Amino acid sequence: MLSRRLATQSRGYATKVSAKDFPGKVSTLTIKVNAGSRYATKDGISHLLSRFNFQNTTARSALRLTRESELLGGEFSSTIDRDSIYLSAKFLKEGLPYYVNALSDVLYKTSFKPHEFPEVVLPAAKYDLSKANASPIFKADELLHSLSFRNGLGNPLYYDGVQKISLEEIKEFANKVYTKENIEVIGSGINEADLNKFISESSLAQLPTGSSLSSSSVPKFYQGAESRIRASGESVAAIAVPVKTEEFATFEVFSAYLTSALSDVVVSDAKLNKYSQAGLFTLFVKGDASQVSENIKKVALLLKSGVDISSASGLASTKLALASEASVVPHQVDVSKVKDFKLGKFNYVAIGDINNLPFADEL
Amino acid sequence: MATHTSIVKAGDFILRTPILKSIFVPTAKFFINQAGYRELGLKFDDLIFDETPVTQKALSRLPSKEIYARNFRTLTAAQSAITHHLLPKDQWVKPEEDTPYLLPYLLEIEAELAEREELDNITVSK
Repeated sequence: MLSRRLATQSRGYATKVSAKDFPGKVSTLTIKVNAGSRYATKDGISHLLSRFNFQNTTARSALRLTRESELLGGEFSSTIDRDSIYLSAKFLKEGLPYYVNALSDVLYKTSFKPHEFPEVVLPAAKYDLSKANASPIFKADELLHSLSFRNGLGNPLYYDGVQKISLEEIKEFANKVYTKENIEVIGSGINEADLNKFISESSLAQLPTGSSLSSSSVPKFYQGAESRIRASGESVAAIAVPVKTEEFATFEVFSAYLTSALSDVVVSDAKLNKYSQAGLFTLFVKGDASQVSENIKKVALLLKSGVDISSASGLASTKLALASEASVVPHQVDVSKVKDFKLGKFNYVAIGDINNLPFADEL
Repeated sequence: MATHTSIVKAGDFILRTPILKSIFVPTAKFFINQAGYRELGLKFDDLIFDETPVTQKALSRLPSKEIYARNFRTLTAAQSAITHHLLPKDQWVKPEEDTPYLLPYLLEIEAELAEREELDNITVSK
């Protein structure tokens, strides 16, 4: 795709818009809102707001939106991570005006009807939570974030009902985060000039002005904590290290090294979660408790003694290139200078048959 | 079958047309007095047949205060009926209190159903 081009220009309105155009029939339009769980005023409010997206608006009902979009051959999704809520639409190129209009109506005109909350939004949110909690790795991941960052990035990703949230609070949160400065429009397979034209005609141009919530300060890291939870099912032992943005390259290469055949340890998953201003490297060993115990000890021994991971930098750069192709907002990480890795302090979580899982000081 | 939407539509037409209004409004008032539900402490919307999916859904969407008041009125009326008594006159429902608290919800749900029906049977032409 040599004809790809990336351009950003300044406009009359404050919303950041970027679009890549390339030949092909499918376009993707994403609105990234800085309203992920780290910005939540109450635990889980971002998740509920994300589930309120694509419900009834004053312009059209949720059913009509879905059916019309089906007829045009497109689909909507609203996803959430710790940084942002992503509202995306995937559609055939000629549907651009409709989808710009529909997405902006969701931000500006959602009617937040009282009955939708218990009838549609809460069941969907509960489904998300129970689906995620079925995986012990997700539970460990949540716990590790909470141990490593406490507030902000440590907030739970999904609504769990521990803090009660009312419809009014969701509306307030929506008014706070759906502002011109706090959203970013990202298109792929879309002509930027067309996109700008349609946006200026849509209700995105009428969104209230506010301020960007995007945090610029580095969150505080907490290390050396341990947590253990009894649970039935498979056992998980997990290690996490909070990472500064400068060290992203090291941990990218390291996670590539651990998950590839280059290392002789068994890990179920190892990844670097990249957020703005900070990251969290997580490593999971899943399975039967005795097996997990053996493997996590091996991994910890290897890490504490230090490993030469430069052999994995090629693999890591390939993986990163693939990931940034697929992702909405690509991260640039230069992995060429990474040499070796040694584990210092870390956070540790054991979930499952904890009597047979090691403690952090036994690693 | 007549839906609430069609009844409201007919009612609006009657109220818009002076001659019909002059006939129907006094008749309606006479009917309400003869029906006597206000003397048992009921509002008109309490009488709407509720064993239909639409009404059930509307009831589930009522604010908790409204549903409490509705249940209270129903119990009071049942008790009065069993004992063959009317309520004391000061407890009768006054005409201005007889508000259509359930009707907006019924209309909203019927509109949703109609829209679904329309979209289910849509024909696409290019």
